[in-house]
Amino acid sequence: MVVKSATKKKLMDLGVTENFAHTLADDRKWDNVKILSREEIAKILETDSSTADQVYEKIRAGTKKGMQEAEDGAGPKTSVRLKRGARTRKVKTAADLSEYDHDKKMLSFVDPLSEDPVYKSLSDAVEAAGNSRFTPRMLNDLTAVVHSRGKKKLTKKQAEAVIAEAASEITRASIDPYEAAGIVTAQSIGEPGTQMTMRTFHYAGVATVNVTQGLPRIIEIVDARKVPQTPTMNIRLKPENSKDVAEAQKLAAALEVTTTVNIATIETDVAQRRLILKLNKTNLKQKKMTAKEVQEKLGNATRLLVQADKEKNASKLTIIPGVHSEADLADLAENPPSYTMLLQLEEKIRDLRLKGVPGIERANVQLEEATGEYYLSTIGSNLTRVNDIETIDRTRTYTNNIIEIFENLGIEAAREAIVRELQATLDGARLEVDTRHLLTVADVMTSEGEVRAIGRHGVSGTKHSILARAAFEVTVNHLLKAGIIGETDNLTGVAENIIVGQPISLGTGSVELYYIPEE
Amino acid sequence: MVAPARTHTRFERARIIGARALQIGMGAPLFAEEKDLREAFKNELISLYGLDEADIRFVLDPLKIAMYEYDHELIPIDIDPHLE
Repeated sequence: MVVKSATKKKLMDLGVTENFAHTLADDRKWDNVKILSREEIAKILETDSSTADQVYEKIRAGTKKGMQEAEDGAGPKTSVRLKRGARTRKVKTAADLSEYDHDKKMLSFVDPLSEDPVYKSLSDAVEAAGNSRFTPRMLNDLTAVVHSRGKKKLTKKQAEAVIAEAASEITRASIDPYEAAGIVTAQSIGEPGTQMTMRTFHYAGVATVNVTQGLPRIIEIVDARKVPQTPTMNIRLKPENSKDVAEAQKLAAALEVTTTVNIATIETDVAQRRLILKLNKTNLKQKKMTAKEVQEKLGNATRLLVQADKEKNASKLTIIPGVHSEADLADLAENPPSYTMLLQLEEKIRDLRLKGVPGIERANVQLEEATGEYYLSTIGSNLTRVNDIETIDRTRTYTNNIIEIFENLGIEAAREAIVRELQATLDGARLEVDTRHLLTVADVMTSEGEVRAIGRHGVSGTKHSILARAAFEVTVNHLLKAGIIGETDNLTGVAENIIVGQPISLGTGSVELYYIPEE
Repeated sequence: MVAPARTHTRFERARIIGARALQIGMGAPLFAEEKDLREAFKNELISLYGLDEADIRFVLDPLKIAMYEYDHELIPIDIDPHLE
């Protein structure tokens, strides 16, 4: 009798006689065999209970759990998931949060400058001047500037002079209440925008990582798109290994998505109804994978039996649709897989992700000349998964996908990212727009706690006033809906007041006059 | 006359002067003395009517009078005092 299944072989290894093993393994996988009770075994083998007991003990001994339970004297219990549970994740080791020291973090917010003599003399001068417009942050900045000029101390007179000068600068820089700041922002971004080229395909210098620039990028940011046209990440390594090329390359290989077609040519053997994968050794080496790994991954993903041509360094892998284990090979001749199954399997395997972080197409190792540090710039972005990797420096890793930043780091981070991305794009076009305009845009987009687009689906579409919404787009729909519900409009905004012909609440229109009688 | 509680913004200034100019234009009595105005707008009156008639004739732009009154804090109008 030929040994045809893994289960039978295993039973025989455990010392079960061949004909018993054959009967038990018939139609049963090992998982099913090992949970059989004494009575069931006796019934299947059609023998007396003492022979069945022997077989039962042998099977029990084959499972770890069985041995423990035999000591406890407890009956058989299911332990089906033993094998699957042992699967381990390789790259993804979540950063350990137990290292997070709350007190230390809070202390880092206390500015070390507050103990500084310059800071003290400046804050004294502010108090003397009775000016309430100075925030601690402004004083910090002033202190830093004084330090950068090489001064360690300020006399009372000098401090007062600094504060007076700063106060006049604040007055100069601030705008009057009820100034139409939003309109000024719109114009200040709009005018330089007209000078931008409509289509710019700019290779941003760093090896083949192409980033959308110019007007398309601005539109993308302002529209709050879920995924930008060219998502890209800048992944930094932890300082201790950031100067190690090998470490960076290892990370790059772990990040890059490797599909089956990247490392092998797939041949469809129509006559024998099977797929033959010819592994490309060079590509495997480049992606830092082994044939064994590929075989395992494919097996796990398809739940099929993946046969290698040899134990070590296989160069050919064979997959037959419908064959889940060696046991299935036997009745392959009787019912061969259909042609459709073969094609479907090929389709499935072709783009199967064997390795890497989903979304990251490429990861290039870059050298930062100034610091000698290596970092990765990627095509594709997946902040959630990349953050889980232990070897990266989360504090310096960046993505240009604003929504991802919002989802992972919160609304304040998203606001900063909007300003940063807008600034970078405008700088790329050599246009100078004051940061405060960009701050206004970012504030408007994020003030409701989520990133909203500027336009119909975001800011303009969620205005409270019906007339303001009607003035923007799809006038009739808004008016009709408001009419049906019976909505009221409080006429507080600009657009609605222009529509009804009243002075708007901006500039001169905001001033209420009163008669002040002579005393 | 009342001095403003704080320095007016340019919007408030424009609104007050505008309101006062409208009143003057419709014939409201002036808060400024005629002789002060003649003194302040001396050159303009001469250029308008010539040296001979400058002393007898007195027709001026109400806006200019309103601005004069504003500068000399003569207008009993201020912004909403409840705002502060």
